[in-house]
Amino acid sequence: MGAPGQNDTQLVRVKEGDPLGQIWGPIQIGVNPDGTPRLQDLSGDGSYCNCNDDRTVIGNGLPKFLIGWNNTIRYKNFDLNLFFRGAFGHDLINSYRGFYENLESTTVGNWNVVKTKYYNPDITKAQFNSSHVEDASFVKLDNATLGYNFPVKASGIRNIRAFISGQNLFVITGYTGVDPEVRYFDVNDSDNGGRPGSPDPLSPGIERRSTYFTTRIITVGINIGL
Amino acid sequence: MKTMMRKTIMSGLVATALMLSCTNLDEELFDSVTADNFFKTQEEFIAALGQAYSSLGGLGNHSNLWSIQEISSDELVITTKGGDWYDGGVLIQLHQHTFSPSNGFFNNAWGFLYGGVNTCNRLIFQFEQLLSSTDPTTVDLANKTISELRALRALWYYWLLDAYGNVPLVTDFTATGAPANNANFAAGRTAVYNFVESELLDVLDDLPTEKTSTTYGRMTRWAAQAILTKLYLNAEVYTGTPQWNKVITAADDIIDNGGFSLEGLYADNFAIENSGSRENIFVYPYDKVFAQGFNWPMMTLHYASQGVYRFTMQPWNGYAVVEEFYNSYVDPVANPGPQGPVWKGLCPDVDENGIPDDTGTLDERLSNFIVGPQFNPDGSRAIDPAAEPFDPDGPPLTFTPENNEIFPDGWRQGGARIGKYEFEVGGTNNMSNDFVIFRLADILLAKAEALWRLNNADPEALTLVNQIRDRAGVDPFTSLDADKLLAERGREMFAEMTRRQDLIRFGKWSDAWWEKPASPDPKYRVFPIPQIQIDANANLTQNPGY
Repeated sequence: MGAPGQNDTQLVRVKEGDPLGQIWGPIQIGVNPDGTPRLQDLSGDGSYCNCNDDRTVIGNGLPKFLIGWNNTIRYKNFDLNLFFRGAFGHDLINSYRGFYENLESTTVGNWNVVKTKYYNPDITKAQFNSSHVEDASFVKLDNATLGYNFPVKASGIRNIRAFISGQNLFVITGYTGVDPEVRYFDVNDSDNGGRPGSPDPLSPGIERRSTYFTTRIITVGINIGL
Repeated sequence: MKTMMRKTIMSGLVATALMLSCTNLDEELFDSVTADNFFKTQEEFIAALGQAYSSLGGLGNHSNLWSIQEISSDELVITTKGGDWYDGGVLIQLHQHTFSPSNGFFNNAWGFLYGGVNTCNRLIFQFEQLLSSTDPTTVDLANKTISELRALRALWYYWLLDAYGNVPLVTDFTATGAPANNANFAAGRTAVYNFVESELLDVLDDLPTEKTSTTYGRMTRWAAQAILTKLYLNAEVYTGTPQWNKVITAADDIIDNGGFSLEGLYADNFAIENSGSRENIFVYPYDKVFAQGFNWPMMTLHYASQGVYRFTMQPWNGYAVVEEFYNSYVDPVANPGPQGPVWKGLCPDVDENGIPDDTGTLDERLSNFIVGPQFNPDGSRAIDPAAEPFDPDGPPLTFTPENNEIFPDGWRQGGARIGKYEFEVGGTNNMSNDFVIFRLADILLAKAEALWRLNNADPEALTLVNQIRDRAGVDPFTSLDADKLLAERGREMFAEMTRRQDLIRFGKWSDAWWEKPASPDPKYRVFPIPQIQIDANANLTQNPGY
């Protein structure tokens, strides 16, 4: 995961004969009295151990299917183009929640606690587990353009079209992180002043803390055909 | 007419195309340097060698060879501080000797070491191409360079042998296929030992003996003898056969012929400008701009130390000194010497001048530590605004030799910090001090130990140890025993990557120490071969017990 405190934490498993994209870790089943997440003893040996015996596949970083839908509607002098795009069935590790959705004093100093619908005030320890892996299926309206063609009579001008176009207009998703987009590559953590590393295609499904918000762009324009 | 002209032009184009086709596709490069047009002068040979030495730049990083050697010893510890520094438990495993092959630090160190081996192998291969040259100067330079590279490669294998024991010997850059180590651990480790010894003995007389700015930070005869001294010193651990007389022979060559001498001030060997040290035999010349990677101020100092040193980046509050180890300096019984005020325990009380009210031995090597109250440049106390309520010193930053626990809530101010190398005020996360790999004091103590092992009453052994003690400003010993030798090595060589092998050689590695129960299983005397390497290479045999 990264600093503070979660370096050398396993997040993915690459296993011979198995598909790529396995998110790997412990399963949270509650909260211990000391505020640490209670993790499931998967091996059944009586207690949870910080080892692979008590870790399992807790998510899938690659989508089951993708959709793209591009449609243009024309009515009288108007035209409307919509481009929807979606990905379904993939999970993401929400690193922001993994570090900051708790009352861990040394991690966040009790300031700027991330509070999503999963927030549990009893948790006082940042420790990666299944609760930070979320279904990140989404549908996005990537682009919408509304245009109007003015009727032209003057000679020398063939057409005049005014339009308004927007990118990244909305996202429908249950994911609580910054961007539910599929992460086919992992760029590693950029903690302690480091820079993101070279993209690693063997570790899909991790939203790192270096993720910045997507910008929404509105364009207004006029086309004149001579 | 028009059609005819078109035809003419077309056939002309075809003819041109045919004429341009040729079979010689060798390109002549003007914008980059290749092996064909390089390697002409001594300067170019040295420039090519630079790649082999820059591989050493991982020595000063966190989570590499230095870390696994030091955190697993009784010198240093990284406690879990609430949400900070748990890191999958690998740091606690290293300190408590419960580590396993999946610990990522082992793979980092393995990659660092074999990366160094591979660069040497590649350059040796490239320089061997020049041996057929008709120019005798080129051949001579190539031979010398190959000798130097073989010595450096022996250093990498000495470290591999020390850390992992039975490692595959890869010496040919052109070899394909997955390398194998010996299925028998003892035989494999002995083979690597023999390789390191024979390589160094073979090239010893080809290596430069002069100490100039050109040979600084490079493999001289003295650096090679230093590797041999350390190799022989641990020969019994590595192969089962002690080589005390060979320790003395190799050390004597450095002592008698190398022209090194102990610096008057211990700390001068580790100053920001320590390239003038007469004591340092082999270093990696770090630079905060041109050779980055010496990150100790970040790794050891407290978050609030940023203000104390006006660093451009905030330190990470990791490595701290184990209190018992710190006490081996100030304890008047174990380390007799002049007594005076020293920081001890929780160092709670000071007099009106800020002088500690505890008394202990004033060993000059206490410069190895940063301990006690910390002050900003304007004289005010450094403040930890997020101090834990359970921290006994509260928000004003005080490095207390005492530490409370390794997990889960280590005091954020607990433990003396590594002050060995001088920190630059206004510095960055990268230091410019040259990292000392071998220095004379280590060699003197190695010779003393070898003499003592052969004859417990050897007077020269005592003289050599007291030479080290004298420089540190403490009283001479009147006799030697195993505990005194080990403790003196500890005080002198703190954080110089010798403590683990010293503890193993003196039979103390499996003892209990702070927050570490006894670890009697002999498997922990070598680190496991990283699981990632085992998974990637079916020809590797894991070390016994892992």
